[in-house]
Amino acid sequence: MNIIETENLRKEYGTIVALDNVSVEIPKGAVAFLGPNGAGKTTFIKIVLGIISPTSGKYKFLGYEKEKTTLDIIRKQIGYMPEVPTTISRVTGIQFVRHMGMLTGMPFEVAMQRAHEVLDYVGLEDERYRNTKHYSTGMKQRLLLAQALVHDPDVIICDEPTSGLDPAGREDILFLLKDLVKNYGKSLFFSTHILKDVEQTCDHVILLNKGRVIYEGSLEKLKEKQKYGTQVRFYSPEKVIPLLKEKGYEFQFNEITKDIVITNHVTLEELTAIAIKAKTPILLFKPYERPFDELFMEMVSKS
Amino acid sequence: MKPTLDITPRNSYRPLEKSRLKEQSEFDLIITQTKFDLKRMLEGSWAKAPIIFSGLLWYVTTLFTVSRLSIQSILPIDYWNTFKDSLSLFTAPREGAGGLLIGIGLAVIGSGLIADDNASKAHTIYATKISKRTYILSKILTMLAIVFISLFLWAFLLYFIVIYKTGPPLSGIIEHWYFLTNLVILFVVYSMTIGGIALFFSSITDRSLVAGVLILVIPLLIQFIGTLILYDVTGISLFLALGPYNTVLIVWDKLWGGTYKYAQYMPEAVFSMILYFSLGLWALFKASNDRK
Repeated sequence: MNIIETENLRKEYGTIVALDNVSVEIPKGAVAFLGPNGAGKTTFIKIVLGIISPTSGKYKFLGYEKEKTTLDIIRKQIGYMPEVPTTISRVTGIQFVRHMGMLTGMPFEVAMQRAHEVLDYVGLEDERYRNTKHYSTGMKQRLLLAQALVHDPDVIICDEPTSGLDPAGREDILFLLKDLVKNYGKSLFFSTHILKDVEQTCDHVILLNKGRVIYEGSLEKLKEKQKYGTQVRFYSPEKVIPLLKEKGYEFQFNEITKDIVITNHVTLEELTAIAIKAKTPILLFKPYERPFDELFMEMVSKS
Repeated sequence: MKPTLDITPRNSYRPLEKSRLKEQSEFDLIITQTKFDLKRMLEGSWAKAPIIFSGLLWYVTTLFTVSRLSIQSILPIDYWNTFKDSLSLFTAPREGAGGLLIGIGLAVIGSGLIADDNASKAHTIYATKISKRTYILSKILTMLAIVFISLFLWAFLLYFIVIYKTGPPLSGIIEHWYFLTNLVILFVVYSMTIGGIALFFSSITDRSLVAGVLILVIPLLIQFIGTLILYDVTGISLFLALGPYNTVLIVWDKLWGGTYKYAQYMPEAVFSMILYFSLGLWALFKASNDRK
């Protein structure tokens, strides 16, 4: 069963279209929702959580359609970690998580014990009695993860979980999320615009831009798109470039590295013939794999 | 090559035994949320020194300038008159400081009730745990509880400070229906007027200090501008009844015999009560719904 299924989901804020007929099927496992700022990721998540209503379209969460009666069931199966470092003021970490536990149906004693367990897990055991107001951003993110886990949900939804964190804090949060998926069978759905986070944690990717899905599929398949022509380097590239143009090759020349990326199909034999004609040796010949960022930017700009 | 995360967890995750979860009714959740907010408000209120200070300043000023005669008037020997007059201290700063003290109570304790959630965007987290209706009802209940606490706190303070020597014994007051009925009426009227105003200002800002000052100052401004300027100049009774403390005074006095000269303005006062409470509910609903 898919975690989330949507059909022509649309959300408008006045004249702004935040989501434009989004139809996706999000499978169990670790799924990333990738897109630049303002792509509509947070809006999508809030609709799925039942926090805001779509302008039109349908969606199902774990097979349930959103209705008042099913919202409670949905809430029990979701742990949500919001985008901003949100906490409730004037309480300690333990009070915050315990209260969230009680709101999901735990008696006081159970909620207290559970709060200790999840705070230990996220590494806040030494900070649990401090006022959350004085937590660092990294600690707040851990606290938010703890409250998301307090009722042991099947699905964890995170909105930009590593936003504003230093590299070490980022690694910590990603590790915890990966651990939950790999070792405890949780499904993870998280939005981000940080590509490295996706590479580290997810198997499935949905790429969103301007409220539209521009890619949906496995990370492997997306990485295939990174393969982009052939990278070659000549001793004297200026002698080769006119010949490449003459033969009708499409290519990009990097002024700094002096590398040429040929986007048409080209063989080593063909390039050797050109090199002989130009009287300059070939220094490098290999398939070119674009950085993920570059592929992402290209897909976004084309969409 | 795919980057890896080589970190060893300090503690392992422990799945929860689902049998330990109880099915909670909406009422249970409202009570849980209300108790949490109330505790949070009462504990956190001590940090609001500026509001307490400004409130006390208002209190002292009002006490010594406007209400001086009222305090003296409670000294008569007659048992019931003493008691009745002393209760009038609660009704308006024009004749007593009790109403103002309840305003201070609401400003100090209740200002962060929704403003804190606005600041921390806690609505979003709550929305994934409880329904919007549960959230709104819990906030209203918390506000009512704060009015209740303020009212009784100041009632007992008043008893010990002002009527201790001339009034009836404490046990006699608590048991007597007159005292309790008065407090119930005052509770309802204060909840709808000052409580509505407190909900409104706490909902429209994300700074509890600002909310606290507004809860304290705006009703007084409306009161003084409405009564001393607009009503005196135009003679339109609605301006008088719009003053939140006047509203309380008019309703209270009308229900207890109509001795107050403005008791005839009961319809306007009821309109004011409904107006302030509706404003509070509207702002609360908007704040809880603002989840873009």
